[in-house]
Amino acid sequence: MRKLRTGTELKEYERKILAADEHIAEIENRLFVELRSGVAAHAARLRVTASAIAQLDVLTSFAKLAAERGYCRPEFNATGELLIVDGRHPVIEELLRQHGERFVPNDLYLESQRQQLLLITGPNMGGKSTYLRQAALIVLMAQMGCFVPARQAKLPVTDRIFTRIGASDNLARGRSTFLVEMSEVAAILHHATRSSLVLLDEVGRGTSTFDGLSIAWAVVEHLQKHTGARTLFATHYHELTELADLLSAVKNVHVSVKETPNEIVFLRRVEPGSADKSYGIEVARLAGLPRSVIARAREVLLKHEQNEHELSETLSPGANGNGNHNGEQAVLFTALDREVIDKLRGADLDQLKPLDALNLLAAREVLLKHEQNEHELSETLSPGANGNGNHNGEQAVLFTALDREVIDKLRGADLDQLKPLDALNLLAELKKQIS
Amino acid sequence: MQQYQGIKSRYPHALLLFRLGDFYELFYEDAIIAARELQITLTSRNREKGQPIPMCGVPYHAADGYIARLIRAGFKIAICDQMELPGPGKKIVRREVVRVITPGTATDGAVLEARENNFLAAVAKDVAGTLGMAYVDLSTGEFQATEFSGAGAAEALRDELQLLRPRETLLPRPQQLFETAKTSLLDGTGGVESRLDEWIFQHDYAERILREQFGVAELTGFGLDGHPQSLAAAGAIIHYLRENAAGGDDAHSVKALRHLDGVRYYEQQNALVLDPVSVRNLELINPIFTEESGRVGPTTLIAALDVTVTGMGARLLRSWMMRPLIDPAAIDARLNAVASLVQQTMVRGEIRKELKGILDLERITSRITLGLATPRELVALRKSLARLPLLKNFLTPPAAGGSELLRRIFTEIDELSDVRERLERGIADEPPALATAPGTIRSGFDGELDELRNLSQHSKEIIAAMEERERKRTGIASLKIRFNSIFGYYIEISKANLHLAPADYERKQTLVNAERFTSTELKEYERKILAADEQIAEIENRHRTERVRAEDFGG
Repeated sequence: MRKLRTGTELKEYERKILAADEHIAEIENRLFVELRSGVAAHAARLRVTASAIAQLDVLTSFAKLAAERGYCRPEFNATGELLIVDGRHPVIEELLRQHGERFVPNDLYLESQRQQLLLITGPNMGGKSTYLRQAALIVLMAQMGCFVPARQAKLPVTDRIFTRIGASDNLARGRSTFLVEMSEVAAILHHATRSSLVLLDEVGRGTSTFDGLSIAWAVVEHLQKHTGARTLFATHYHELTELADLLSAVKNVHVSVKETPNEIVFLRRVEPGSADKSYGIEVARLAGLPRSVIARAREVLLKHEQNEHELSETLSPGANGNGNHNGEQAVLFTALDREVIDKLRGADLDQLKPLDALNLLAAREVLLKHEQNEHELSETLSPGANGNGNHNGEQAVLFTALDREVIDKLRGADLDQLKPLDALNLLAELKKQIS
Repeated sequence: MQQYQGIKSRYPHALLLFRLGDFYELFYEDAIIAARELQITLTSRNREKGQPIPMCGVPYHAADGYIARLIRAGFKIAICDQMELPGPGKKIVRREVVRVITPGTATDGAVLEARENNFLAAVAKDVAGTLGMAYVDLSTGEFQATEFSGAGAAEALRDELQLLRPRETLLPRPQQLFETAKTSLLDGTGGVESRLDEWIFQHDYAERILREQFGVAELTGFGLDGHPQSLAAAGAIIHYLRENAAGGDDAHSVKALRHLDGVRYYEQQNALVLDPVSVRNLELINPIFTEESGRVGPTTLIAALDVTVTGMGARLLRSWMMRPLIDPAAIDARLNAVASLVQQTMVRGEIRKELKGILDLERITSRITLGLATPRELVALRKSLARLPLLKNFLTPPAAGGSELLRRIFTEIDELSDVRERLERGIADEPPALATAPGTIRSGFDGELDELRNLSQHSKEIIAAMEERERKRTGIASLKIRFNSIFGYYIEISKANLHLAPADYERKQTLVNAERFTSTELKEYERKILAADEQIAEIENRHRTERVRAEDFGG
């Protein structure tokens, strides 16, 4: 052992002792970094393990849901048949359960030949939207590999799910609700295949009744004849239910309502056939509308219904058929065509998006027919005296050969082949001709 | 400030956090933004010279929380540290940017949502309008790429981005003077948009950087053949991560990003296609109407179905929901696994119990390879790994039943006992938050460390014991034994107690309120210190040679 020589030397050594602490920290940090990069060398093993654990977590969670909520194992088939027995909406069922209420289950059957498209009618709040969504959620869950909220589920593999549901929240972006709705419908008609599931809720609601009904009618026809997608179509256009008589793969169902003298109860059960139309007037009666008003409403409704039948006869003569009704149309050159021409004139093409153009064109066929019928209806209800309807005589005079050409061109256009941009061009061309 | 200007000029798009002592300081425009976003006081320096510079700062030890808030708000952060200790003779401490954190490259738990992915995307485009898109979650290592072509390409890209919801998207810098904030191409679906030079999206460069990243001679195995735009997008992502998240230096960044060991090509239509409209209409992730939040219970499908117990599971569930299967065999494989687990109530419960104790292995692995994991994270990793044997045990066939998927999961769960043992021996049970603080390494792990610790501990104990003894002997409770660099060790007695000082104390120094002494024993201790000094030198020497011989763990 050395001898202590001077105070300076001591201080030097003391500093070294203190430096040992710093030195310790350095060593610890070095060892830690070494350890950490040692573990990093095994990153690939860790990732494989992590991925296996993630899968195990999800699968065990699915099993827990299945066991605790009575979900069943879906079976897949290649026949295109879709059968859901006692299906429930997974989110609403849970919501209700947490409030001590029970969800009313419903069945669903779809099959390509006889029941490819269901028209769902019934009162608002009756459960139409829920029924639609629950079908999509069950299909989605099944293809995630999860059991589904149903007693039995036989499903085909679905390639895409399309939805056009309710009021969109896109208003904030400054696009019109109807435009949004139509571009969503356009996307569906363009992309859906036989293996797709299509949900349409109140298509056409964003515009005037007859425009809306006409578009809805044409969309249903297209989906059934050309697309072949499994489709649920909820609508308040009761007129559409007649399509079930005209198209073999279209069927009606309705959400049931129980009427008592004092109230209307939503049973939330989906049943075959279309809804009883009188419920709206019943609600009005329960709300205390004067008896005379109710009686008059029934009268108007009756006339309207009669007219409806005539309309569908015109649109799809005979029971079914592929819509080969051009011969008849040539005859129907009336004031209605005039209106189409006027509409064309009025359309601001600079503001029009290609899709609108297509939609405008698509709707024209049904529109022509329907408005025709409508005029007749108002004639029946208020003979003479109506300033609005009484311009038939004049209009006949205003018809020129040029207009005639435009109408013919419209009739001749093959809308199924038409791209949105072409539609816009066609419109522009027609408008030029008219002006 | 000259050093600051030099560094700042290299990171014009990031907020520069400039380390000054115990604070990260921000200056100029950065300071104004940070003060507003963080609600901290904006001050200024150089006021006296007539040109005040706006400035604000956050304490170094609490910086993570502030950084997280800025990242979440969509800003990029460049962290500039001091690379050496300030000391006499050094005029300006060397400083370097050690990391750039962006919304798409964050890995810190404070920034990330545990149950959601944090994607960085890149989009490349060729003259024909074909769009390539790649995305990565740096925090988990998920790395995929796809391509869109034809008339609906841009729309399909936006749809896909709306499902992925990346925090940040890389795009080629447009050939124009003024950049617009958002491109019409993405229409806001890509999160924060970051511009890179066009050459970074070149096919050749992408191929080279990806081969280097994955350590392969050919990229054929990843399915990118015939998809040059997706390759370009993937290459841009690796380029960006190297430059930012991993510090830029090549060798280091390759190592840091080694958890990104491959990219997977996929096609949108290889899964059940859900467009954003349907995701919204069906309320899969977000409710359409949020105002009804007063109601108890789930309002979205994810809320109704997510009973997972790990962040990894929660993220996978979302990804399964956004991309459901279309292959009946693959669907059945999952359904078989679920069916098998449905029947085994007990096993299911036990598995879930074990899973609850497992932390986010994906994210911690990424933080480990990036060199960011703290001692406590390694302890958490060790504890998670310790649960794996039991977990596997519950899965052992026949518990896995007839499910092939469960059997595969069983074999894929690697107990990693070698890694766990190493961590157990190396890291203390309750380490400090940072590895630079003492107490990280468990004693018994490293001989040199143990001996130095003993020595340090020992010398402190000797002094403490001596102090205690002298207090008792003299009856002076305030007696102190201290050290300073001028006088060495001394015994200090206040003026009031001076009359109690024993005769054997030798006076060393007189202060206003106290007297300092030394004693025989203290002199003896000083002799021991000399010995200690020799010991330290000897310990260091011995271990240095040992280390050279020691084999590298895990190498």
